Amino acid sequence: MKRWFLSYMFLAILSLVIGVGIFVALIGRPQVAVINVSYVELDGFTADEINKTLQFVRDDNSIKAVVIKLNSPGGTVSASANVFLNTVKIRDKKPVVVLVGDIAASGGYMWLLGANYVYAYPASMVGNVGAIMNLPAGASSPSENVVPTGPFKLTGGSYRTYIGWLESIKDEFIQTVFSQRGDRLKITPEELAGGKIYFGSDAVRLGLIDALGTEVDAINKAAQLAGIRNYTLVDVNAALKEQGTNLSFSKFGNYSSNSVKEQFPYIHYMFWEPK
Amino acid sequence: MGAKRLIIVPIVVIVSLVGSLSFFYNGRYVPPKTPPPSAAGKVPQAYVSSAFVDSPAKQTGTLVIDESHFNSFSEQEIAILLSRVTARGYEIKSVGSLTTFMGSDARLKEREALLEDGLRIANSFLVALPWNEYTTRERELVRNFVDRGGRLLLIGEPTRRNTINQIAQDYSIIFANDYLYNVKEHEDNFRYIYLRDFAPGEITRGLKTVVFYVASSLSLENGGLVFTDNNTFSSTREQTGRFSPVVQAANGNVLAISDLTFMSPPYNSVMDNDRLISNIADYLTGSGRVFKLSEFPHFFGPKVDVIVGRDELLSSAQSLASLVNQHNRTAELKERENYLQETAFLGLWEDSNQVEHYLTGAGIQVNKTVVTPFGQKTQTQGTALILLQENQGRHILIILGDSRDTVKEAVARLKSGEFRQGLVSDNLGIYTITEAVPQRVAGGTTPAPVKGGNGN
Repeated sequence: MKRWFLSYMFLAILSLVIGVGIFVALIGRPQVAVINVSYVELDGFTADEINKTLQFVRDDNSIKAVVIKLNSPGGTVSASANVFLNTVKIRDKKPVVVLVGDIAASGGYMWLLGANYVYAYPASMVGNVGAIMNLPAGASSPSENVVPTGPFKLTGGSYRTYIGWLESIKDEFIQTVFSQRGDRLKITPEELAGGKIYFGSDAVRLGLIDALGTEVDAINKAAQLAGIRNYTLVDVNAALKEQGTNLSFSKFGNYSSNSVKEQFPYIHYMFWEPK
Repeated sequence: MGAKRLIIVPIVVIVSLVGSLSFFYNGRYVPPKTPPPSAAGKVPQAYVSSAFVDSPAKQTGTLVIDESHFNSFSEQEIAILLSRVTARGYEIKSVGSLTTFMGSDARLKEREALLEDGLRIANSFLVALPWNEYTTRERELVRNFVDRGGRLLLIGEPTRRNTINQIAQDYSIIFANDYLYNVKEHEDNFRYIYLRDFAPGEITRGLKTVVFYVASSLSLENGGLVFTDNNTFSSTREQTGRFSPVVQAANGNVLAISDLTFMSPPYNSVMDNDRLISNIADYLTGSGRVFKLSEFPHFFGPKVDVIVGRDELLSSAQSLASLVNQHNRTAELKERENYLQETAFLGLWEDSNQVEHYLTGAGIQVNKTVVTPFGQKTQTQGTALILLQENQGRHILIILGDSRDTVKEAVARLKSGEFRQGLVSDNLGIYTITEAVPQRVAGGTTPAPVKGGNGN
């Protein structure tokens, strides 16, 4: 009798271990990844760095939800659209919740449109939809020595064409806001086109973001959307560092708005804070 | 019995699996059905220039442009407007130079003198985007010019710092420190506003829609000519209103516009901008400026007949005709007076009967003395008279002297400008000229003083 009992126990314990082992091997304990973007101005370089973190969280199957702590005044149009689209790709697989820190303006706001849910603090600055451009100088006198093959080879287009493009880019931005925020928005396209910055409370009222909250709220929401509990947290910045990838935006931003303007005199989704 | 015990394995495995799942998962993520962002934005419009044909009516006169206040524009930007003005027969002159800074204290007197000389000959005056401030004297010169019927065009723009309000405020016009914008309807950028509301008048004749590229609002009660719509805001007031970027004041002799860009290519060809530029050119060349004798020969119209009382004065008549011709007019020697034509008459005192009606009309009596209506009595010997009379829009200039040399000297003083020193009224000059004709510096500039000169 005793032998019978012991053998059943042994099998039960073994089966339990096997069962848990199968769970761990195939499904795994769920994780919520936290990406901390302390401050970043979006350009080609920083977009690449951000995309490393996005790819990390997208490809790791044990990560079931993502929280992005976002702090950005925006940047170039291409970089902003880049990180937005890559965030949408994550959203197609697992929920993304954004927590706005000090600012998510212009390109930074475009980025957070890729999330399922957005939190901010009451004094967070959000919005500033639109684009800015340093236009090329007018057509210069033709030169004997520098010979282009077309009238716009040197400038890329006429002044008026650039103005038209700028307006198109603004329209695309507004379209993106409306397509991603949908019925949550309580603002007209004309008012949005004004380019205003909204503080957290107003942004919630207008449907530009979803709620005021903290990091804990963001993590809980991400878990709720993913349908998980008893999860672990993953600091993506630290995880990548362990792999040998140091992210520059984890430190305070090296670029000032003025230097971005100088280095990248093209179209920006950027909030140039009044000095 | 052994096989029966093995059944516990799959059961416990399944139970532990389900238990683990339940411990860590309470639902499933369902991605939202948010539509993917579309690349279809507004297609930038292709620009099609409006067809406009200018039909200039010919006038005579001079437009003077202020370039002495370090003005923030290039001549290229107003080239189209200037070409319309010259097509209407006007001459263009500028005061100062856009690249020369005359704002230092040391150069203010020089600048005032330049402005005075410029306004002396101007039918209309254009002030655009001045950087340096105007002196009290300069503002007075401009006011006097407008008071005498000269037409003033003031151009400002909010994208460039300027002091235009110093002049504008003399006519109760203020260029506000704002810009007008419309986010609902605009040409490519919210600052490029459509204007479709016009008060009737010469400036707005034939206009349906114009486009201004960054304009400010102008404040003037009851002077607005062009108005914004209900969706146009002022950047400082953050509210809509019936703002006006084009106003007219001083009985129509002052026109203020708060955008320069619409005049420049390619913006001039948008909508009715070209027509507006032509209307402004008509305004500038429609000046009713009243010229005095001191502003010789700008009181004359395009054609002038020069008549002599006797043949010995033909040489002086030729000199006078040449002088008038240098100022964009056509002066020709004629045998007889044409009472419909601008006229200059040269004669000796004995010929004064040929122009007696003009002299009498001016209250001047000629015998052995010349008596003016101011009580002045001068011997005719060694004396020259220059009189400007106006009769129903026709100007008659009369030069009388006691000898051929005296008349010649009078014409020389007209050429050099010294005649202004002998004026006894706005339209009359009396000059005492000795037999010795002074030598002049080449170019007719200030000569050695004349002995016994009258009031010189």
